[in-house]
Amino acid sequence: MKSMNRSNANLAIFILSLAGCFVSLFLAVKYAQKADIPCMRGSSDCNAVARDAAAWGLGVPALSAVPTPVFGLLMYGTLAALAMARVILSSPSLSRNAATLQWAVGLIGVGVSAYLTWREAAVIHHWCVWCVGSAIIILLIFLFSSAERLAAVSRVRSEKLEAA
Amino acid sequence: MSPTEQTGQTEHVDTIQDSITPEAAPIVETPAPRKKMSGEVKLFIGILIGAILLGGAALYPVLNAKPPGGPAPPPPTPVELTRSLLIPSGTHLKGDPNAKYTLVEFSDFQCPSCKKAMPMIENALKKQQGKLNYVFRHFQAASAHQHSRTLGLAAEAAGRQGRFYEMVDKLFESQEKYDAASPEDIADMTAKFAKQLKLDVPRFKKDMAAAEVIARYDADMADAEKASLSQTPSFFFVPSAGKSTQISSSAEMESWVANPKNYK
Repeated sequence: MKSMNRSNANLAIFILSLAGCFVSLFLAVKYAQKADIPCMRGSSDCNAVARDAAAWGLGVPALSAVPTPVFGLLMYGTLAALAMARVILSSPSLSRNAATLQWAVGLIGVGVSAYLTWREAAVIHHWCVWCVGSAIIILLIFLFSSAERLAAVSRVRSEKLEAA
Repeated sequence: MSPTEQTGQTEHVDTIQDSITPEAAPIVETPAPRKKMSGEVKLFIGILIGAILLGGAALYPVLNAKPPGGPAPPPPTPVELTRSLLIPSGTHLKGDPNAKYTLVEFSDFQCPSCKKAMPMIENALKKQQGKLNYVFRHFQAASAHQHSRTLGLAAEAAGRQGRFYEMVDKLFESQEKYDAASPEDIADMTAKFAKQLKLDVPRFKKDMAAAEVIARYDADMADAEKASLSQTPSFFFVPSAGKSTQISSSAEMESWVANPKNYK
């Protein structure tokens, strides 16, 4: 845990967020064009997943015109922007807030991703390799963010002990 | 906590501080984080530019492919396949039986593109009335479509009571429900459709397991294999004499059947 300094964790989160942006953008394009995708011999099961109610607007009827990967794109874009903000912002408190927001977005992302992965397993009975990839990416982001927070907490504690 | 630590430079600054004398520390402490900060921003910007270039290069074919999402389909191509292979005797014909041209489709009730093609086909049959008729044939390309065969057998069983295409329409209407359905759900759904079409339901259920019905479905699958098909929908434009033309996408099919030059 000690080796997880802020710079490394933030860099890892930034790279993973960009990878997540790529996966989400690819899926959003595929979803938007889903009706024209032919069913190929031995194709992956992304078509079956794309037809599920939760694949559109996260399953919320009012948002059903928007492919769920668009929300993923927004989330990863936000995470990448926050990672970038942390190296640009000169104010320490703003930078700290950006890190906290990063962790919170990661937590929400993991929750939503867990629900979507559960649907693939229990409801749709098909796996989409891109969706699973996105789930792994957001989980890694959350783990990096959490490890960074834990390291920061233990650092503050040890500083307080030393000061005492 | 110093400003440098708070902006994420703790370890770097610690290292620098370890390597210098206490007297020199105040001199190097201020410029060091600035240098590092600048380098870090450059690194992030470099990664961002690299990701945009790499991602753009990878996504470009997806954004420009026709049909989108996959490689561009081959243009309509003349094929050597015999008419009897594409339109075997006793096949389900829709439209004018005396039409000189037949559009043969290898289709799958769990394939979204096949569902999308149906209104295009209806439209083409209306516009080319008297010149073009249509034949639906079964082909399950994607292994993920686990109910495809049962649904195909349901259409064939309805065909034994003269309602093949009515059942085809019913089966496509409920396509979104099939992926999450169990085999029992599919049996219930097909029985419900049979009832809605006013078929003899006990006979319909019995016919779904009849050897002749199964043989008919399997013959379509075998012919699709002989034609080396790899996807659904796959279309053939078959004239009463001469070479047939293979068409690999709904969009190509729509423009091909609408073109008067193709009806010589």
